[in-house]
Amino acid sequence: MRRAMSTWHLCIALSGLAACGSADLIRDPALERWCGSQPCEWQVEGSVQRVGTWHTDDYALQLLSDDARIWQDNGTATSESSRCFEFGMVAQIDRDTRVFLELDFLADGSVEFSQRLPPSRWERLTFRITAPTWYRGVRFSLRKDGPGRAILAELSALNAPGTCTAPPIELHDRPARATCSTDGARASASPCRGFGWSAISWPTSRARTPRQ
Amino acid sequence: MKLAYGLGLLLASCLGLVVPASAQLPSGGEGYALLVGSNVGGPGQADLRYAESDTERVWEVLTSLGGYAHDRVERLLHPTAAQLVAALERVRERVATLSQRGEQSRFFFYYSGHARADGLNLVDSQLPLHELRARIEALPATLSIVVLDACQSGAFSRPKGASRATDFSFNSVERLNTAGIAVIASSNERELSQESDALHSSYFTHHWLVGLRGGGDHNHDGRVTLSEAYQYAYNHTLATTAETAVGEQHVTLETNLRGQDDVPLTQPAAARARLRVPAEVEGRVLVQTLPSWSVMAELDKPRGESVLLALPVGDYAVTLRRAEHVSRCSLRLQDETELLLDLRHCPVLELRAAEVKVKGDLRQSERTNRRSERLARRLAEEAADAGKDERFVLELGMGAGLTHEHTDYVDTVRTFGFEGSDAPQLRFAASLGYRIFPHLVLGLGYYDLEARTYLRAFSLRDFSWAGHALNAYAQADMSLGRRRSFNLFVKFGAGASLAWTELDATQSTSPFPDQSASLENTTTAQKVVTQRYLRPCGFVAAGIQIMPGRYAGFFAEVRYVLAPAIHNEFGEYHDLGGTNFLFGVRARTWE
Repeated sequence: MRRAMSTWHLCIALSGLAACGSADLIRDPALERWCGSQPCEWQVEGSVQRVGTWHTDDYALQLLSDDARIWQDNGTATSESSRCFEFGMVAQIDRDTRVFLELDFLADGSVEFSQRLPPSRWERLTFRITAPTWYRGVRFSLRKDGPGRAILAELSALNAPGTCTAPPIELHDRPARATCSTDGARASASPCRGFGWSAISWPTSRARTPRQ
Repeated sequence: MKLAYGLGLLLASCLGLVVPASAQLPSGGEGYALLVGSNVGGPGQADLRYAESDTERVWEVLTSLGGYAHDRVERLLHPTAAQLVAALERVRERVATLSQRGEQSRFFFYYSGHARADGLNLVDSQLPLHELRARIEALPATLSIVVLDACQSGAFSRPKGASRATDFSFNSVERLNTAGIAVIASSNERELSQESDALHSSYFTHHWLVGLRGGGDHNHDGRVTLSEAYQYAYNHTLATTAETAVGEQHVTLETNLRGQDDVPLTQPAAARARLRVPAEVEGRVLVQTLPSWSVMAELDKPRGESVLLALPVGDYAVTLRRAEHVSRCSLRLQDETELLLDLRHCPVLELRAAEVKVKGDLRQSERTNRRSERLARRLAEEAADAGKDERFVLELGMGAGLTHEHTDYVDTVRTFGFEGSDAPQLRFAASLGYRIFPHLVLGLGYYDLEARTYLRAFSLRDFSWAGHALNAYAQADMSLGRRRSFNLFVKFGAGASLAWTELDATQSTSPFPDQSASLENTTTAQKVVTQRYLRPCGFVAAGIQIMPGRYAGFFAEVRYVLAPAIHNEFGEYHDLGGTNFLFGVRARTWE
């Protein structure tokens, strides 16, 4: 069964690749477009500010308040087009700062995936997440929980078919007629439980600190 | 007497009064000299040109070859009669001190300037010759030598009571065996003494000094005696002045000496720098200093005996004129060395036209003739350039530059999503230099620095940088051919770099004053943000310069540039220098 599912996932991924290529699932991943003091492509909750990075005019977004949150919806990503997300992130996150990357696959306000991001000093982080076997649209969120410094310069999500090896995220409360990850057959009303994520690659490059 | 002298010498050495060994006179005793030169003419007399400078030349010979200590040779320039008399009094006191201690001494007096039969013309006064003689004869010196280079100076000599010693055999002595007074005058009491613009000296002083430098060493024993110097000066002064409009000049010698020996005046064999003209050389030898081209010596050199000339350390051009051609070479005399003139390094200035019969291919003969003519022209050019040197040099070059691929700065740019090429780039360089010493060039140089463009793929924004540098540089080089036809060099430069970065940045604009919730503004106004940097930079380089022509040639150079010209907000610098390989053209001027 597992072997059949892997092949099936591969077919989906390949079809998705044929259909959608490897375009970024996140608009303006480098936070280049700003509408006033806020990024144009992200919704903002709490207090944020635009800051410079390695260049005064290459911007990043700093999550200021303890409950600051930004999110962006992608309504076109589906399980047929994107089964494996390859994330790239460049950020500065202090050691004791809690920042979470969260994915809401039905954009219904319930987070199916939440992962605390590691401390970082402007290193490029890459990691993959295996999407649910069925979903329609996804909301990408970055949430700060508590005090500390967190600055995001880039968050990209590429469709990387066939490269994820971890089990898919379990998607609960699927609509009727949606496939379940457990059987892959016609949808039933059975709830699909659990979630998973693939290995995260951590870089070994040196930390960089912007000049104060 | 000898024992007393030796004890006296020992006592004097303990008191620090001994003349330094380098100042030991060729013929013993302690020497004092008074050199007087005056270009200033009296009423009705035009100013001379070289009388005062001649005293400097005499000073150089006395102190380097004659054994006179620097502090015992006094030069007076355009003194009055009273000042000259006061100087003689100072000498008298010092010589008297030696005489009271039983020590020998000698006094050397030289005058170059205007005179008449009755006296020396000194500024606005006159010192009668009889008074000058009386004062010199009254000095308690063991031996006095007077040299007068002035018109009618032969009148200084007395017609009576003066005789010439008939037996001037030479021997090596530490003690004067001859006492009295000897007078050399540049002309007799009726003749005029002349100056030469070509020699930059008076005829007599020039030839007399050449004789003292070794040209007059008739018996080749390494010393020049009074009679040898006189004979040399007499012959050459007569020969050269016979060709002038003024007419012949007969050098006179008067001696009133008691003793058996000819008086050694100089010791060219013991000079610190010597030029030896080999025995096989035959012809007229002209030695000129460089870069002034002043004549130091002129000899009619016969085959069979070498001639040793004592010259100051420095650069010289030696011209040898023979019946069929003239050759010239440049050489450098260094301290504590004797240099043998090697004609193999003296290119020919003139080629004698030869009669040839053409046999066979006439065109081949014509080509040979053209080659010979080119060779002759080149040799003539090289000979004309002998002693000359480059002055200004201009270099224009281009090549390839290898830059630093993995600096923290570049790594950061890549971390933030930019990608670009690190391929070698084209480089340009230009410089203008001035050769201030034979092996040193100073100048200004320009060169361009690394220029790169990095692109952020998902946004098509680019980030680029470039820079230029202006440095002052110093080049040390070594030439391996005539006219610096092949130069090896190392070069160091330091200066400033002007660099800039350009980033396509997004302007934060919201053109809709009241933007509806349903409106998705996609306007992305871009702006180019330029940051400029002015920072120090430098380079080190090495290479070769090949100059096949007199004015133009080529160069090849490897240059390492250190130019940390730009930096980011993280404090990371990027070196826009790196290793450059340059090739180019080189042009020069000559002094």
